[in-house]
Amino acid sequence: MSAAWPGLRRVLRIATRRSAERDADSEIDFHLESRTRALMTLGHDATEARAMAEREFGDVAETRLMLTGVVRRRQQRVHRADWWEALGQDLTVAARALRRTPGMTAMIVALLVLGVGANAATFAVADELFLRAPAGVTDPSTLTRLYLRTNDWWDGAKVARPTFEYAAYEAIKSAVGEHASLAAYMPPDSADVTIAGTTRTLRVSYATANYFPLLGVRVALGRAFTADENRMGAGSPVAVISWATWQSVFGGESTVLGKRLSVAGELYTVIGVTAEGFSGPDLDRTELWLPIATYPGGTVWNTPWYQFWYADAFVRVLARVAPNVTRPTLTAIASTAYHSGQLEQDSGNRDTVGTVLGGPLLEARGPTMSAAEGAITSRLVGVTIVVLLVACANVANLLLLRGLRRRRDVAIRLTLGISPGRLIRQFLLESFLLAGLASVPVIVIATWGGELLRTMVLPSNALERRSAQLASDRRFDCSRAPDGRDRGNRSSAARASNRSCGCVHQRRARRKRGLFRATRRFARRTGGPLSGPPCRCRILRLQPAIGPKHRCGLRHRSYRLWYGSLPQPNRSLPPSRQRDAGDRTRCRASRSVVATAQRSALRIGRPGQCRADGSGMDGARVSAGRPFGQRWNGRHNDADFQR
Amino acid sequence: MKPTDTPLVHGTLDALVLKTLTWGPRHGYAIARWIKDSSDATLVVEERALYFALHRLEDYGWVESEWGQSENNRRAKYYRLTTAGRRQLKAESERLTSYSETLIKLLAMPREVAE
Repeated sequence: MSAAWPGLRRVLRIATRRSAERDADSEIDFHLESRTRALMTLGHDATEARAMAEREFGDVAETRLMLTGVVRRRQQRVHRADWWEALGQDLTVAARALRRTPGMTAMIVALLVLGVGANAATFAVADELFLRAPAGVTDPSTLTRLYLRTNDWWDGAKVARPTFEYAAYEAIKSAVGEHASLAAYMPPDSADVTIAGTTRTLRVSYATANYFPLLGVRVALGRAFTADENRMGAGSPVAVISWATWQSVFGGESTVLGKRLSVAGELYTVIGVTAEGFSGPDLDRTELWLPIATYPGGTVWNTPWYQFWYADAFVRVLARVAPNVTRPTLTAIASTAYHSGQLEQDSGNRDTVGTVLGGPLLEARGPTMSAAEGAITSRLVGVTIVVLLVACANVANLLLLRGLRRRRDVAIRLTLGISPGRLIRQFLLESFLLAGLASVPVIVIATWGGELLRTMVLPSNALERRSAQLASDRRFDCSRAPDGRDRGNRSSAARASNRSCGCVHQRRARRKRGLFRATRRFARRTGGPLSGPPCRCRILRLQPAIGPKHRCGLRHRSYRLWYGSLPQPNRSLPPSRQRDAGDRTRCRASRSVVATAQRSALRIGRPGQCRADGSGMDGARVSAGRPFGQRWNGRHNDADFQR
Repeated sequence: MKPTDTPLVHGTLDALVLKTLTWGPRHGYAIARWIKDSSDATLVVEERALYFALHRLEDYGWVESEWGQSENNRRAKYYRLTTAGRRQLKAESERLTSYSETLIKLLAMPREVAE
């Protein structure tokens, strides 16, 4: 009996698997019958004996129920154990099958790694660009970012930008009133920050007082700016640092509040630390926030920068719209405010086509996404999907080949009585094992490749790298006075870069004196004359070399660069007008300059005056098709000039 | 239940069941009879409790069960001691023996010694 025990047990278990109830019943019945029979031999009649047996036993019905439960639970446990055991066997079989054909296994794994890894890396970028809301922001889906759709000041093309002049923000804010709460901030830029004697580069953003409340950012330590500290023209030197900065720069000490740090020669006091994870609402991370009232914008044309409609300081505007207000209502009010506000200050050079748009917080999903950027992103995604499909097709082919080779094997196993379900499970397990083998390198590739791709595509990482190369262009130049005077302690890298490029970033270029100085410095360094065609030619000839370098990044646009040439002062005019006169005449180009420019396919000269073919270069106004060109060169229009 | 009947001390039923099975596989009814007969009916075992004990022991892996034919050709469930069950019985009987010895010693202790 004992020899047959395990086999018998298995057979019986299968027979009684779904019979827990019967099992318990017949056991109890057997007991009761045996007892009844025993009592009958003692002389009791059948009914009496049965009743006695049941009395001795206890509550029969309840016992039946409880025993059934016990048996059922045990059967389930055994069943589960069997299942796991079979799974283990199948896994072993699958692993052996894979080991028998190492070449094919390696091939399939490599294909999977390629396809899935590339996709995962691309998705990581797409996720950060389009899907993931910035960390630490409360309810990001209800935040609205304001965009300005207008005609490009350079070539009149329709563009949308997320930036506004601070004056525009103020105008919109006061007009919107109760309909929405608005906050503005400057996108983070690198600045040298001195803390306890050591200088380090941090990403600094200037923000309004309602920036933190609007985003719903909690403050982990201390407090955020108050409205009083952020009154324009009388800002208090206080600073809020991010959690990451607190940890890395201040070592996470609680004594950080009250510490002093120096930005652009100004001393700021740390008053707060934001909650962990928050680093601004953009992709670009922010490490230090300062009140926007302390922005060293100075005065332009005798107007404080924050009231000047063409100031060089741009802010991004976020809004939380009141529940009963629709986005079109908000944008209509904002657009009207934008136009009327501009009209107040400057009737001649209005941006008449500017429209304020409301868009999602994630800029990549907003209207600023240019056609080129969209095309590149979609192509990148398309290519990786094709790669995945190709990899899938190849893997499927290889697996099919494997299956064909193993027909004999399968036939034998079916003959031996393996169930089709079990066979399918074994093949599925083989596929899972292959996928599992591929997943380890895929994770590595997705992590590193994704990081690499992000570094190349996204600004927060890319800017760090590129700012080293193009120190002058992207650098947040705190040491420089807003009116263009050089304070003398600019970093030598920035200076060298500025000189050698012979070009200035659009933002700086809009400060005329900055442009003037930049070109003069270049002229001095190259030893050329301070005016006249030779120097200009040299500058312009640099363009083909510089252009592609600046345009290589996805988020860089060529129109951001403005290529300067030397002004030629007109001595017959009073000194106050000389610079303007220089501007007027400097674009008279030689034939070689035009040829160079055409070869480089970059526009030269001043916007609104010159075309790529040089036809507008002699100072003649180009009137057709350029409504917004007014905005830039209207400052030097003829009427103004002849006064 | 007569007042002279002694209810089983908690925890001893398992040991008794295991002991019964040392002489070979048995069904539940036989185990119940044996306990009743060999204790001269002084130990009262509620029969349903015996079956709970058997199933519990099967869960622990101390006994195994199998359906077989009884003496009078009926289908009955036979229980059989496993190696683990044998080991458990040994440990349990040692424990119970020392427990009852201590109990006897304490109960038989004369008054002057206790003071």
